Amino acid sequence: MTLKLSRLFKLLRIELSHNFLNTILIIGLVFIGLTTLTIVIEAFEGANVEIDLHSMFLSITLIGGVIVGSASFGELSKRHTRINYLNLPASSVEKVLSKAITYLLLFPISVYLLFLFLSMIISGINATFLEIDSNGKFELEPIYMIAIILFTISIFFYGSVRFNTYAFPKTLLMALSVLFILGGIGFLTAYAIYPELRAVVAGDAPDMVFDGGNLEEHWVIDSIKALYFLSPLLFVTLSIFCLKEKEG
Amino acid sequence: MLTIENVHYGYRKNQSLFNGLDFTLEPGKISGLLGKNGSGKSTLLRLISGAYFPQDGNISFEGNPTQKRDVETQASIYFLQEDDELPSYKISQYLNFYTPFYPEFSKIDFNKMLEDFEVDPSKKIKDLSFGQKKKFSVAFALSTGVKLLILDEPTNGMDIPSKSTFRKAVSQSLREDQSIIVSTHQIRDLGQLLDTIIVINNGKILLKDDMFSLSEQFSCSYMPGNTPPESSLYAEPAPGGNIVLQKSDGTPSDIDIEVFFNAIISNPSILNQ
Repeated sequence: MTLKLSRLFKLLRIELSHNFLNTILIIGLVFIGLTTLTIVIEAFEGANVEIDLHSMFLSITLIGGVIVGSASFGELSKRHTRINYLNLPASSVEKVLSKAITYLLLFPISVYLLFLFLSMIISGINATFLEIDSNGKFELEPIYMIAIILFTISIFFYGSVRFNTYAFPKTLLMALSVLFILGGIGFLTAYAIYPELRAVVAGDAPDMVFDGGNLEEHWVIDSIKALYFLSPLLFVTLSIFCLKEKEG
Repeated sequence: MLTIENVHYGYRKNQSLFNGLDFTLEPGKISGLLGKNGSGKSTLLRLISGAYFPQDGNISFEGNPTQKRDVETQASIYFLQEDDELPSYKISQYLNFYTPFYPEFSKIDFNKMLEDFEVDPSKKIKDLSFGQKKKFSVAFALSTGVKLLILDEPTNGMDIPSKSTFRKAVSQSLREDQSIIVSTHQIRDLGQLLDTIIVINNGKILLKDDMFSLSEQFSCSYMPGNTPPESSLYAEPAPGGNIVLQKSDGTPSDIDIEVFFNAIISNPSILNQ
């Protein structure tokens, strides 16, 4: 597996000139769709129309990310384009990295810049976006939000390489299965580590709320968090091997 | 040199398409790959290009297995598919994006071929007709300067003058270190171009031979009358008579590849007579 920067740039030029323009279009459509939906719902409820940019950012990046992630290897969905793409003289590493830069980096950054621009329009030139809000309006820390976004896009990114056709539903099914299994493992791990959870499950502590917030840090939990942050790298690596072994 | 050794392949288990294909292609030659519909011509070309992997056996170009898809090997091979699907760029944009992957690409040859094919280079690819797209694809493929050029039905959709231009372009562009393999049904259009023919039948190579050698062994001629002579190996009805395939006395003579192909497919034992 070789990586030559000049070839990576050649691939990026193709991505940005053609496929990324479609991505921008998707962002625009999701944005218009969500804005319209918000206005319509609030109008029906008789409330004042108030657009929450933070929620909308998360929604657009996640919904848009799922769409662009699933479509990131669109060339693989038809036999003719798949063969042309596989035969293009560039390594699997270069091909996957050119897509990862476009869809896992440039896509969320583009959406972020769009919302920063919108914040500036609404709140003035000194406005910021995605900072920890002192009013507690936005509860997720930006780093977790970025992790959620990258985790989601990278799963669908991998699915786009893994499945030639119907990448979105197949990846969704795969992701749900993985989440179900991981959820089960997570629950069993937490059950083994935390006596509070065992007490709640056994019905010995009816007043106790087990929401994770009142627990002490544990190395197993920290490791799971680290894995969660590393998952985009894992999915990109899996995509490289998957593309290398892919047939026309 | 392209080497194909004991290649087995099938789309489904227990349904094999190739059962031990073996042949080599030497540089400096144009080879025609012939076979009936469904015989696996396109599949073999995909295997050669490295897009498909053989289930058993080995396909290598200049010693490198094509299925590994090394960048250097890929840059030495260009596969033009039948009914190729192209992005909606302008022709100039397409060149800007894709020619850097082929270091030997000749823009001069490409422009000359587009001119000969009468394709407007300022157009968008999506605005070209089917035949014009084909001409554009062929011009691009022939200009890549790769060492192994794989063409799957390259003249499909081309008008008669363009087929002639295609033949001229192929014969002019062939270098000594280059091999071209062409799969076609339109054998009469390309017959004059071929140095070697390879015939696939029932998952095996039925024949691989030089055209010159075949022209020394067989001859085709038109014979008037309803009944072909007893010495004929094969006969096809033609207006007022038959086109007859016969053994030759060793003197090189014209051979109608289409008639020859039909003859050996219907009766492979002809090759042993």
